[in-house]
Amino acid sequence: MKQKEAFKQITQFAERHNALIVADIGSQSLWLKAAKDRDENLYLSGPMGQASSVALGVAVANKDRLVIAACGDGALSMNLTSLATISHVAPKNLMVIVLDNQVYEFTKSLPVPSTGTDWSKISETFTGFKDTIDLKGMESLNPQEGPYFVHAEIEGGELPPGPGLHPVDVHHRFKVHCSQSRTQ
Amino acid sequence: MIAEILNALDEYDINIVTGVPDGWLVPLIKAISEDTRFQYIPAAREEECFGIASGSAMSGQKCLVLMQNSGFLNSVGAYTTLCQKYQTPFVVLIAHRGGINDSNGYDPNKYRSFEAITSGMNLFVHASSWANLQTDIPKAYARSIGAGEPAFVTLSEGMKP
Repeated sequence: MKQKEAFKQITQFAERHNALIVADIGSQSLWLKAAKDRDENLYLSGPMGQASSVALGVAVANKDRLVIAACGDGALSMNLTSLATISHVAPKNLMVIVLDNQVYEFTKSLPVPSTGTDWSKISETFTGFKDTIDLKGMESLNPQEGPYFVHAEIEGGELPPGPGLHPVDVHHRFKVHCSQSRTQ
Repeated sequence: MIAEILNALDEYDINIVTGVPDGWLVPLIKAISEDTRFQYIPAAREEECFGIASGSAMSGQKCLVLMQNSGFLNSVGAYTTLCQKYQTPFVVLIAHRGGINDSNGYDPNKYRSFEAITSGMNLFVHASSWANLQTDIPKAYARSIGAGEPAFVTLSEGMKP
């Protein structure tokens, strides 16, 4: 599966579940925007590897909403400790998806150091995660009974269309959406 | 004193707290963890705290971050690419190790580096005390919202028994 198609599926899933999505820098943010630009999308165009941590902050601030962290495999490798933190806190409304293409897409497809990591066994190591599933498995679970880890194996080598949105605009739009959603 | 600090946090709607422990901050962390008005998120690494706090802030919720000064040194990249770029407001309470009240031989470099880096980055850092935290944290928070950037509040010693 190409990353473009993976993000179409993730966006459709998010729309069905009224979910917020936090996407990592580079290909995740841009492919997410290309799939569908939503007020519920928080694109991280600066910090590499922070999507899982930012999503945890979003999840505790929006406990009635499903929150999806869309992480690159290279990015998540930079912040593996976040999986320990999420496992400990175990927010039921959080889903961490790793888009695993084995390369740094924006860095001339150099291989990532996580090629020796078995993402499919994350919930065996970080036991606060309820289960590790694939993209197909997402469809058959209750996403609010997590946290779930999703291992999405994708093809590398295709750069997404740009440009992205300005970070301050992304912040403002997302905050307005979350604040209005909580008061409704 | 701790009860007054917690009441001040709650009155200012600061109900999400994240951090990595420092010995000086333990009484505060314990009290927050045991108080149902707050959700304390113990992070494995300080850099995560800047992500968690930014996620809360960008959701419109207030968050307090607790860490040692060395924790900020671990987090400069996330601070610049996330907190500065997205202008996320929150307060970071720092156990500022290695100063006049700290005779540990392994702490002075943390003090020097924190001073040099925050000064070099022209960050807002307010030196506070345990007695003043109940007023300084809300004021620093108001400043962080107005400025569109985190505010650092430092302590130079542990809480006296």
